[in-house]
Amino acid sequence: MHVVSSQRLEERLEEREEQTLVLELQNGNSGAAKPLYALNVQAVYRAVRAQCAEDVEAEDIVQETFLKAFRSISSYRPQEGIRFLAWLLKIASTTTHKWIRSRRRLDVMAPESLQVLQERAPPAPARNGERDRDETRRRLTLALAELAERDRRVLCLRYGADMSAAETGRALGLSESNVRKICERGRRKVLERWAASAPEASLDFRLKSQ
Amino acid sequence: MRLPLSTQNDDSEEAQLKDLLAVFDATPKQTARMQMAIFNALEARNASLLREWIELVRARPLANAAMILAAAAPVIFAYAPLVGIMRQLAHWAR
Repeated sequence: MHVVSSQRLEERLEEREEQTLVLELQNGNSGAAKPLYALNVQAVYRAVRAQCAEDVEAEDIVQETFLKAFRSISSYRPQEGIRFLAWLLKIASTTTHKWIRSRRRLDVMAPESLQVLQERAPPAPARNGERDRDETRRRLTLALAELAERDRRVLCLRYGADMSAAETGRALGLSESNVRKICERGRRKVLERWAASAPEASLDFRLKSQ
Repeated sequence: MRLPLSTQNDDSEEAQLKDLLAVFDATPKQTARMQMAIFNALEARNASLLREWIELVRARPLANAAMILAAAAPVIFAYAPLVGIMRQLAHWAR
């Protein structure tokens, strides 16, 4: 007998609820936009923020993504097994790319930005938790920067937004098997870099090199 | 059933990376700020479309009134017989 786990069941119910909201929005009920935003903002933000060096940049990109999505909601066509989030992330991906090009901003992962991040002294706010969080973000951004832009985008969508390989492929125009290969290679590299950038690791390295 | 070692490693790496990336979560403050910006922009756009339309009518009242009447004519012609029928029904009901 096929048993569906309660988590999967919940996910399916959520997907159905989401599709209903999308349909309502397409039929002109603007009240459906806020719950759609609430359901997806965290995943979109996480995927975008992991590709940026600063919060402000990520916030601007996420805002533009949702505005574009709501304004062109009539062009959205639901597909079996592909969530609304995949469509949103496709827009987010294009927006991130265009944002960097059109504003002639520094590519967030460009050497200049990375140097700023590398040279940034560990922040010293009042609370330790915040400092740890900032430091984790800084190290993770630097680790992600080791990847090629396409690979970084794949990893941010797959693990940041918790998309399936099929959804990630659909959002970025890649095959599912290609996404799997990129993920396998990319996550190993990021985790290695992450481990190597730990303060204890650099201390070990310094001790060894002495 | 035990999974092959490589699959177990893949799963643990995936879980580790997902955990790490959660550090980029938006705070409730950020979520609220973005929501306000998005929905204010959407409302402003709707309001500006309406304002644009009103200004257009104001700028050339005669030409635009004619255009509006022309657009509304089919609706009026379709609606008028319906009103007649309803009146007749109400009359009979009395």
